[in-house]
Amino acid sequence: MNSSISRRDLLRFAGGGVLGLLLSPLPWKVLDDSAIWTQNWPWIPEPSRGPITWSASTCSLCGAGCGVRVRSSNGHPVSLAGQAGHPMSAGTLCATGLLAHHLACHPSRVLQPIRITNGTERTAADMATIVAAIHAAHSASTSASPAIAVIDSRPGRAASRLLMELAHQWPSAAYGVAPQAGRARTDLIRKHFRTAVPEFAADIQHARLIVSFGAPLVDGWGTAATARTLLAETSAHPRPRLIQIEPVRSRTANVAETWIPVTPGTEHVCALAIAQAIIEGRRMKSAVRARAEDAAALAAFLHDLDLPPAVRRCGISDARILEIARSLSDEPASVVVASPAAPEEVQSAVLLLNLVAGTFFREGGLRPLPEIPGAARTTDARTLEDFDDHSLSVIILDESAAGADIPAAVFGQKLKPGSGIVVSLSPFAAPRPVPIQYVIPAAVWGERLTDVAGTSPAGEISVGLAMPVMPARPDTFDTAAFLGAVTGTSQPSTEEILRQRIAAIWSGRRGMVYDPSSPTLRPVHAFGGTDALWSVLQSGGCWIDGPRPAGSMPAFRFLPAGLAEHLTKRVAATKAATAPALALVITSDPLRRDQAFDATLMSKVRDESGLYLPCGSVAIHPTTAEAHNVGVGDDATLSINGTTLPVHIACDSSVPPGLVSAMDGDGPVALAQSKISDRSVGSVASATSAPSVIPVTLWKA
Amino acid sequence: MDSSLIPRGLQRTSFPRFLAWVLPWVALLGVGLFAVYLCLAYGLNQTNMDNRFAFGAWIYLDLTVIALGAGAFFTGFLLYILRRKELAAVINSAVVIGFICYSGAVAVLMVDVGQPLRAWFTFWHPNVHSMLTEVTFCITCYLTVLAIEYVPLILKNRKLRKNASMLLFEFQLHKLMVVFAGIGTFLSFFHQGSLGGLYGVLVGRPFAFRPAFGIWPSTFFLFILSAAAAGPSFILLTSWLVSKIARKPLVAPDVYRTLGRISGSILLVYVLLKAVDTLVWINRTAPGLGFQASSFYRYGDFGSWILFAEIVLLGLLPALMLLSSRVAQHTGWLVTAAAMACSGIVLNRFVMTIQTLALPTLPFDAFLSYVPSWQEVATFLAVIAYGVLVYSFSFRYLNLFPQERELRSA
Amino acid sequence: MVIDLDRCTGCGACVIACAVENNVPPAHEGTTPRTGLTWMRVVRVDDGRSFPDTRSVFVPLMCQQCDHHTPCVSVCPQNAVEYDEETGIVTQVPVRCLGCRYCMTACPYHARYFNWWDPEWPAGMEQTLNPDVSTRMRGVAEKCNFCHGRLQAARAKAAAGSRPLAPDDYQPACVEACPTEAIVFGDLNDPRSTVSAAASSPDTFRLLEHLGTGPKVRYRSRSAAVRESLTRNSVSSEKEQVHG
Repeated sequence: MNSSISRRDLLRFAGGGVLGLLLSPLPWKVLDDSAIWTQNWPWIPEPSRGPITWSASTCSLCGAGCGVRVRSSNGHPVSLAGQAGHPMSAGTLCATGLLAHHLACHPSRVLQPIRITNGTERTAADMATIVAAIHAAHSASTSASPAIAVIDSRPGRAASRLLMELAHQWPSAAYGVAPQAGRARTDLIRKHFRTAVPEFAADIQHARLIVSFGAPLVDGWGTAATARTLLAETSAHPRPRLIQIEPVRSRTANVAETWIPVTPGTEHVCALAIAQAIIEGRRMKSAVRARAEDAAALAAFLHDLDLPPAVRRCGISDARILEIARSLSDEPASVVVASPAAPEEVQSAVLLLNLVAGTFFREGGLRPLPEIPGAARTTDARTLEDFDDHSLSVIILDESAAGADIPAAVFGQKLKPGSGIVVSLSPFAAPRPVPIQYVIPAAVWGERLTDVAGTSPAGEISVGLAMPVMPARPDTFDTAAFLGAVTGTSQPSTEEILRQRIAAIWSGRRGMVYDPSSPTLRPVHAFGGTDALWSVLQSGGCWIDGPRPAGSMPAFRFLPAGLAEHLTKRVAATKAATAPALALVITSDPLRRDQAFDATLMSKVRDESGLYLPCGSVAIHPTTAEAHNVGVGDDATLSINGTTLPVHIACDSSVPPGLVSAMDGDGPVALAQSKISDRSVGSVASATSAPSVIPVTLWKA
Repeated sequence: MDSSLIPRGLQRTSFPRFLAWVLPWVALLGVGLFAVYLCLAYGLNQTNMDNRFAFGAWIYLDLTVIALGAGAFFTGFLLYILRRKELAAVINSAVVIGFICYSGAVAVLMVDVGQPLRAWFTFWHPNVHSMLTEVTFCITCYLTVLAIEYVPLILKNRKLRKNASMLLFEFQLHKLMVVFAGIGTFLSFFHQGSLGGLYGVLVGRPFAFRPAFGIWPSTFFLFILSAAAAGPSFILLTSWLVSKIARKPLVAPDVYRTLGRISGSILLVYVLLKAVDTLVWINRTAPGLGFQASSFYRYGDFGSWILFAEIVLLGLLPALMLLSSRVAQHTGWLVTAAAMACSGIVLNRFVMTIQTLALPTLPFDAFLSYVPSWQEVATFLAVIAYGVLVYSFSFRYLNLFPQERELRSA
Repeated sequence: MVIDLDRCTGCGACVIACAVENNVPPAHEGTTPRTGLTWMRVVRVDDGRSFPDTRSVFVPLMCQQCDHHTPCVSVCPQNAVEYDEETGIVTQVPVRCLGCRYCMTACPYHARYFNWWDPEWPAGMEQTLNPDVSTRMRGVAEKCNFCHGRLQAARAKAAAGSRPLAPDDYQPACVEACPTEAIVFGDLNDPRSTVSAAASSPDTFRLLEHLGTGPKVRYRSRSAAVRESLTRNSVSSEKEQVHG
């Protein structure tokens, strides 16, 4: 038998083998497995499934104090929701707050001390070096003026007291606060009264008429419950009337009953004209006239101002002004509010209008705020701007709780040339114009215990605790731990300070306590003591105190020293101003309240849907775009006071013609603002505060 | 080696010249394959498609090449079923073109889908209501048929014929060709129609939606007719082009005339029905969905000129030209008319795929435009390069035009 | 679902809550509003009047959960889109999806989204993923399913209590997150439900009603101008253009 195998046999064998393989289950197996593989790509994370637990806490991203319900899986928060029935937030949570649990793993998170050189280069730094630098400044200080500024981003926290104590212990250090929105207004209010008055808050909850000069009422005014108060409608609570006087159609203007577009920079004229209409229409209440020391002088002052030529610049008809004046005086529960970012003349004019309309000390008007027991008064504390120029060796920024941004230029102005350093206690290190050299890693929301003090739409104040709901990253600090490291002494822990605060609340016996487990609101005195209060607050409850009893209006002056001169000057400036080719209106980004950090998922309302104007973009009306020969998506440069900035142009028919609307925030626009507030730059910049309206020239790139 | 592969009696250019012709196409194919790699490895973010423009250049390409490749089935249908013997002169070329068009389309489709490894799910969990299921089934089956039709051509190669079993196989296959032509025709009618139905069923796209006859929207039938009309024209066009490039006559002029006449008469029927369909759509279908047809032509460059171009300029005009005996006397005019007819179909497929998606539906939608990324364009061009290469090799080594030998000796 | 447009401020809380609930990944670098993954998005629509009378309305837009002629269900070649007869919810099955995007071209509401990129979370963020919802992979379509994870959890809970699922047993994340309570969710077939009452109000309308897709998401506004600008078809908008 011939057993030799020919080449042909081999080929046949191979061919047969291949055919046989095709008929075998193998191809099907390969096909199946490959498809299964596409459903289980190893690089795509799957959620870890574990026991689901619920807990309650308080949001500390801004100072509003919203109640949070935390849903955790495997001991890690997976979603947040509002606490229904919470007295401050009524079950609401804003877009920023819904992502609080994502901040712990933000790509810009700092987990060890870092040194930043040339603005962007980061290297690991040694905590000891930073502490040594602070100590060196401390011991080298000889002059009477402080060499170290300790700036508190969110004054009023329990930890704020520790910062103040450090400044107290070290003669070379001084405590300061970030610019506080309400502070300038409180200062202005106090000037009107001879006796000491507390802080005031607008009682939006009970107001039946709200006249708002650009106040972002549905867009970051306290908790999101404010928007519900304004928009929800039940038979028990009909919608309040909202008149929004604002140059651009903001979200608030959009839902307002009436939106009155006003020429930017003339809001104070409008408020004064309404006040004058009330006076001339003999609509000022007798109670107001009785307490006022200078009613006649005000009438004369307003008359001498010769408002009509300035009013014509507002773009608002006399009939409209009369109508608002009539409504304000007819509606007992009415209030006039202004944007916290508005310049001083607008704040002053709005306060004057509130005084004329008699909204102070009234339900639905401006109501005096109670004080938090045990809290240090920070309303008199200085800001960084109040320090002497070129006097500081070290600026310590406590940014562990986000607060208002300090204009970048101020740092250079206050630091000693060449040698001054800025140390920030912050969870994040994102590129920003502020010249920070060292970042000390801070804990974020949910990692360590902190406290939040908030104000509700009804003018109530609250204290809540943000509880740890996830494991804290090692090597991160809260304010107490950081100060311990700096001073080398043992500082009281955050918990200890907070317990002292709760003890003060207990001993004050004022206010109510909200218990989320029941959920009920019970008076403080119904609790057994500090421990009972402490445990309720730890379980996500809060202490609230209503506005002080109305009381009677103390004697006041309409025109305290300097106000008449200031307003005369500003009205004259309005009359004299030549209309700019384009006016830039910068609005603050409602998602970045207190400069809260953008979580990564915020891309859904920014890049991925365009719901919010991205920073670095400016919006103009299509006709304005056409008139200046720029198109949608064009790169352009915005020149402000000689500074030119690259911007993207977005066309938006909601922006009135002749205006440029920009969103404040990161990037070029924020840079623009910090430059503008530099006192030494530009003639348009107001000497007292960052102006929100600047004539601009827009160039196509 | 090279010369031994060239069919006997045929004159082909020298191998270096052939290589010089082939190399640029190979390069283009290479670039395209790199683009394909990028798309498969990194995902479809390599393209400029987006959630609104979910279909882009590739789907347009698929619809177009499959319409042009229809010459294969329709010529087969005419030759084997209707016994139009004169078409034997182009059937081989038509089969190769069909194979190129269909395999190219399927290859691009595999890149176009987000999860190519799950492509077989359609066979496993088919949704019988989906036009795309119909398309997938028919196209894969028909591609198999085309491959089977292509095999005898290869087996006829001089070298392979030396193998007796191959010859036998080829002979047996040839006997079965009628069956395959029949199956192919049936499958083709269906998927050409289904491709039209793909858009015609989209009730959410009032620009494309058409009322149904039975289960198929009118575009189903219009696509069959338009493909049947474009197919012969494209065969005419390619045969002429190849003969120009090869610089030798390949088919007798009367074959051109026959192809032209067939294409023209079907095109005429198509244009008339398309006109009726358009009128029904303007007056009934679109208003019934709440849209005025004229509103679709208000955006960008997509004016109503497009309707005129599609139906009259590149529809009725070439149809009449192809049917005119005066035009038929001049190959140049005939080729022009065929080119116009093909352009009309290309334009129709463009309107169906691209304009449909560019137009807004919601009252607050914007009209969108879309420019393909280089990866999309490169993949698109790679299909063309692939086609040229397959055809070039087939032309060199296989006997695509049976008349070539006679015409040479004549 | 009924959405009261008069109450929508366009704050975006619903969009964020939706993304958190459904494990939608953050934007990949280079993502635009046209390639984003937003099961829910809020669109600003101008009412068409000229300055200064012009107003915008914010329209929360998600899958409209079409009824009988669901455009996406019928076109999917491999049954990766399912219509739940019991609830009327249209669900996407991403693991069966081929990524052909035919459903996306079929959807008149542009409420379907494609995973153009592989999902990526910053390191550590995978711990924050909702355990009730699977993540998706590159190359598949996805969309709103009225929080299927929550529905399943509610079903499990009802089953554990040996009672049938009640329509109010669960609320989608967007409904829960809306600060102004603009969104009402429930069983439209139950005439006593709040959602039915809201849906039967005369100022309620549906988007692209003429197409006959029968969406189960309704919108309402007391403003006739808003209703007109959201329901007008090209017939009326053309008139507008003629008038300039």
